[in-house]
Amino acid sequence: MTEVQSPAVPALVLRRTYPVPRDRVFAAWTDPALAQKFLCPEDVTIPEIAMDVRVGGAYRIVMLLPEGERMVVRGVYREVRAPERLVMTWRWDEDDPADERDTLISLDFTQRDGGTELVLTHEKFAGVESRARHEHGWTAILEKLDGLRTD
Amino acid sequence: MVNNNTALDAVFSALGDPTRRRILERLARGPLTVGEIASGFSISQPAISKHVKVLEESGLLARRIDGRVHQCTLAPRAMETASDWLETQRRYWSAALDRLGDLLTTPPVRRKNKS
Repeated sequence: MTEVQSPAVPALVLRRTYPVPRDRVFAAWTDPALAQKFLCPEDVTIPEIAMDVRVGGAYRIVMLLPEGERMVVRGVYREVRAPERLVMTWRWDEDDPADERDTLISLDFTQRDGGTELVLTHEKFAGVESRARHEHGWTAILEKLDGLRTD
Repeated sequence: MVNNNTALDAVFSALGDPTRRRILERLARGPLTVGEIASGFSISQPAISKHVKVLEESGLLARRIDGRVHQCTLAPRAMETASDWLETQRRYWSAALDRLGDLLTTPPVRRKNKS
């Protein structure tokens, strides 16, 4: 597995290790019955989920918030390499479709010390499409900016 | 997840270019004129001016015109728009990944093999 560098453009990178084999972690993301149990925060439920896990296939997830609000997220699989990598677009439905934006989720599953390391990367598309690996990363900018914040 | 998507797009797309990120890094050390910015690059001043304009439109850079001198400074607030977006995603995915951990480890998952 290659080291995940700090991305050249702003992106969220989260890393977790689970004490179970890689295929089980991968399956949790591709089996709707399992995904339904975790793919949202604790107080949210998923009454409906459909996934067509293949490159170009779509998924759609309906989430129910505690106050009764319904949110729908959908996307298309860009890369499906069981059990090591899964890439998909991620887009929340909005009242006005003009407000909707595709973002990109990449999941990398690596066997490590008898368990599985999962690295999740969530990127805005505007950044993704013009992405260029570069020594001048955005994190350096953010660090420098810390000193400039006024409020 | 309603937000100012257009503003976010502008910020992320401005940050998507390595030259523009280098301009921001240089401005993080202090204000510069457009000419001073250009002197740090091998590309032409018109090209730099264009990048400066994109940064300005995204809100990441503020320009003060003092006579003929265009003084540029960083505008941290727009950068916070990007940080806020990332923070929202971090909260969401941290929660989901914790739940995934619970799902995978407790109780020993009974795997019904239906297929």
